[in-house]
Amino acid sequence: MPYSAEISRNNPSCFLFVIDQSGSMDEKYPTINKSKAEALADVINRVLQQLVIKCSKSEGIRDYYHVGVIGYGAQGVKPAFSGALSEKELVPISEIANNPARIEQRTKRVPDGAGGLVEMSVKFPIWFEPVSYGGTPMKAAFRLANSIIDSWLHAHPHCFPPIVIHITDGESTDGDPTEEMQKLTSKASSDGNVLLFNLHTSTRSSNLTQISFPSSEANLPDNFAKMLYNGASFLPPFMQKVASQEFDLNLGENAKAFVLNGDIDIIITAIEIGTRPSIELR
Amino acid sequence: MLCYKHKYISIAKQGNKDEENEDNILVPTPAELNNEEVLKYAIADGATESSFSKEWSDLLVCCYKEKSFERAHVRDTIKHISEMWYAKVRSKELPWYAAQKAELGAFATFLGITICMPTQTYQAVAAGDCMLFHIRENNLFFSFPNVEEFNNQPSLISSNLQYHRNLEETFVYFQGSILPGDTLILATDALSHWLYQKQSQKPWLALYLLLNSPNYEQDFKDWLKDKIASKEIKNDDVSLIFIEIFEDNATSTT
Repeated sequence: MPYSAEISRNNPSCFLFVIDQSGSMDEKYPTINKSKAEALADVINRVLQQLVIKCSKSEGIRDYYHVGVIGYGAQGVKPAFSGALSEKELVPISEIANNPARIEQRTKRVPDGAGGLVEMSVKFPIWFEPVSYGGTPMKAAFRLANSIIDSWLHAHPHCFPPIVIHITDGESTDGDPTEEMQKLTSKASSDGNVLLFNLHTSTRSSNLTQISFPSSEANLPDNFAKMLYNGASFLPPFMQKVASQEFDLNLGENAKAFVLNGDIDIIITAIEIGTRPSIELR
Repeated sequence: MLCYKHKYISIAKQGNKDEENEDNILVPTPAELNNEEVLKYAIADGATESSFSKEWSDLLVCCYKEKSFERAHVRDTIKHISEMWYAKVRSKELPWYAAQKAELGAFATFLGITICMPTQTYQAVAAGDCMLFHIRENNLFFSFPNVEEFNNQPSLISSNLQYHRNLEETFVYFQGSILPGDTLILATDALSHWLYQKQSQKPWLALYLLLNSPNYEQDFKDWLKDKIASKEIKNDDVSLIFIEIFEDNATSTT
């Protein structure tokens, strides 16, 4: 059965985030008064923090995952970690844990035990900074993603399949990435094919319709949307289960790992679905 | 008068180091076995997903010896153990991620039995899918708790009491009586699942033979390795307490 391989220190899996850092990412989401780049940086840093905490045990961090973040924009395509991890492609989760570029103090509201909420200061590590400048070399980004995943699968042929999460707000400016996406999703470990999420985000300042996890391309407005839809993977049953049980989303059998014009909330939900392991970590 | 002897074993999951075994067990000391009228056994399985689970399962079984897990007292007992756990964890110098993970709390399943020798009865309490098998005349006389637990998320005891709106409902209870020749087996989930599934084949006989071999620890490890390789038993920490009940005075322990 696919997507059932043990995720262990001897047989780790990987997540690769591919992030659009083009100029249009500086538009603000009106609901949170942050730019797309800033909000997504927060989301990626939060996901990295959660993965680190998930892999944390009393004796230290267990390297169940290797994680990479690549950005594409004015400076072309390159690994997007800041600080000591800059220039690194896939990094063991223990190295990520111990090398944030900096740790900010942020406040979060927590239950006070008497039915109310109190503000609490928490440490918020930063590995990935917001960038929004230049064009959208999406094709080149997927070319690099293919190269990274090739190397990973060569070294880990029996791993739980890698999950690639691509977040963008615009159309490719360096050509059609369809072929590179197809190459990516045709790659496989002995446990199944690479899973690709194509998450398109929008500030929704205009009357754009949000479409999430569709089962057909019938309602997609243009060829760009169809390209992202067709490039994305079908959500495997274990992810459908997470969507249903954790997020109350009852998706069609052929739902795709695809969002169009998503606000920040649905982007976060999609990332949560994509980064939740189906099986117990060992 | 009935007498008891027990053997126990606890093994880390394949691929993990021995010190990463998050199961813990409580058995009477040899002195207690020979002199006490009430004997306490317990087994707890710390959850892999949480940190400091080994410490949590250890505190649970240790406190079972002195504290009441009866429904009327279990909230106070778990609160007390939780405070001990947080004190232990917070006394350590931890990196940011370990501190944040620890604040979420640790989780464990648990099974305890208290045997009253004069009345030939026992009381059992469980949270989650550690199981008790009561064997009589070489047949499964009773198992506890209900095997439905295997089909759902097992109940877990958390050191973080915010997870327990109805802590008392996390625990289930059973009272049984024992006769000479009975055997009581306490096991964590992977082995419990196997015992339950194979009950028609009387799998406790295999355990009896293994535990009575001269090199039983190594023999059990080898046997378990084979069972995991053939996917009969899930690769997990495995712990077992095997209690035999006799009608004579020859009591011993290992």
